[in-house]
Amino acid sequence: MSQSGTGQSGADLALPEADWSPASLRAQFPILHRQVNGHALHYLDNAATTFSPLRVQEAVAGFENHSRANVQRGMHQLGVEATDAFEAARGSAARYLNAASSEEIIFTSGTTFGVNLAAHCLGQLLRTGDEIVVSVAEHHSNFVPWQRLCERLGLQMKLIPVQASGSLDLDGLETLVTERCRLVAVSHVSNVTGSVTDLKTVSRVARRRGALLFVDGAQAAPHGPLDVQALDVDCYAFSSHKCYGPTGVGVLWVRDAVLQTLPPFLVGGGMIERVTCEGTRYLHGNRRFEAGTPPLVQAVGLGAALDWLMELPWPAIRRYELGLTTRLLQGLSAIGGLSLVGERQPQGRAPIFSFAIEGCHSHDVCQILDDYGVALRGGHHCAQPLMDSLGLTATSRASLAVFNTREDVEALLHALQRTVELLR
Amino acid sequence: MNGAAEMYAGGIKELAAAHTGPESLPDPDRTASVDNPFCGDRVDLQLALEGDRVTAIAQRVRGCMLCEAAANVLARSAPGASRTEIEAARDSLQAMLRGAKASGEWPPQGWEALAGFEPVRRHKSRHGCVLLPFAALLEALSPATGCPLD
Repeated sequence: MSQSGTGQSGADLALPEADWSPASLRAQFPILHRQVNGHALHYLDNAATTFSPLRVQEAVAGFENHSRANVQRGMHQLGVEATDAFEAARGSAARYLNAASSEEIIFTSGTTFGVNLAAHCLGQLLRTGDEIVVSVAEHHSNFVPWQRLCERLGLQMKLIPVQASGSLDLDGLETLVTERCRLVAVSHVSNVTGSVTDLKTVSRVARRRGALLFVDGAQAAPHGPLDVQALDVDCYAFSSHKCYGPTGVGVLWVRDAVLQTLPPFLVGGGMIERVTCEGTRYLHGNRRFEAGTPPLVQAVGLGAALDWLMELPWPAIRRYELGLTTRLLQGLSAIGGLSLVGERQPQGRAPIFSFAIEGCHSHDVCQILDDYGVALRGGHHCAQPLMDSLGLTATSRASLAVFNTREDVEALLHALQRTVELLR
Repeated sequence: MNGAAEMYAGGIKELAAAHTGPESLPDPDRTASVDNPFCGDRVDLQLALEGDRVTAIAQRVRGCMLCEAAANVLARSAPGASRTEIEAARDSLQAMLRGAKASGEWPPQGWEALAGFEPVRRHKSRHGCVLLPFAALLEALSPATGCPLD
């Protein structure tokens, strides 16, 4: 993803650019060497779930085989090691986001849980008549929790519209975000179009009105280290499984000044200060939001994935990715009847490409592409309000990861041409 | 040719292109709108009834080729059928897709075009696409959920 305006830092890179190549990366992903339907696998569904490198798998296995125990309360050696590994993962997440402190990191089960947690907790601070501003381009995970909150509390939900390209139309934002607005919730990167939200503009308007800014970072986080302080946002959520880590874990970062004001969400063990028959006093800070045994193994794996990501030579990767993006956009535009959904320029976007083909439904397209070992996603991509806004029912989506190569792009374009010939 | 291509190279493509039946009825007795939550495909359906038998059917389909093809089979075969007969046809289709033995003949009499969906059997993720129009029709026919028009 292009660095400009994304808050993606790419700094402190441990691996020299000269040592990097797509082949060197691919060697770390054994799954890439399997075949699908008699063809080499060309996996282009990374925006849904991507693969884990050996280093992550080894970290998970290492924890399972040597240090598996519960955290925080174990009085034995394994408990100490497990706690150290878990907290080290928290530290990795904090460094990846450039958070002011690892105390601002809450481990969740994924972005969806992070949004629900925030909606529930923030909701307890809101009153009837307050307003929430969300964009129509959101993934359902960053739409339905706010919609439900508004229904439950009698809040007004206002919507940021999109341009014809699917990018957010921020022209009317100053008017949309009024003094009654308490929260603005937007995604950093669209899971449909790959367009990057101008968070600095959104933040500036939200700040002026005294509203908090919640960001769904599920599609931005996989594309390099971030700087939530520079982005000037209040909450940032992302998932591990899109960031080369295990499934079932994610991160919700909340700015400390906001975190300290939030009431608890789930309650139980691990988040209390004292429980008596008369009542309960809760811990302060991030631990207040991690009731029960957290996803220990998954968090350790996520920490390894984020460490691995922070060591990648992002400037070189982005140059390579820009080349793939340019070729993919050019190749897609050459297919008759294909309409790209989203910006057409290769720069300043994430490598997520949605398209519709006249006379060919995306499910049929993706099903036939699978015959060629090309894995894409078809459907509404959990973004039905966006689809409605754009007058679409479904699109096919290709999304790149750091291990994708020119061969993957050419395989997609070749198979797509054959698919269109078959379906028409 | 193998895999999904075989499925599309068969009769399904022609069946989907047939566009049998209207998209709306002048005076429908029942309506239903059913979505496939996994993919967003939608079937909006209107029915005219005489007793428990379908006399006319209209559908607006927003779906893939398999869904369109199944809707067209319904448009051909549902008029004149009762709810019980339609349920039996759906059950036979479902059994065929699952590779199970159907309780009746396959394909059911009057629903011979359903045989065109046999290549879908091995594509489990697409079974729901074929069954969606049946779900809409049976929902419309269900006294509990079908929406009668005043």
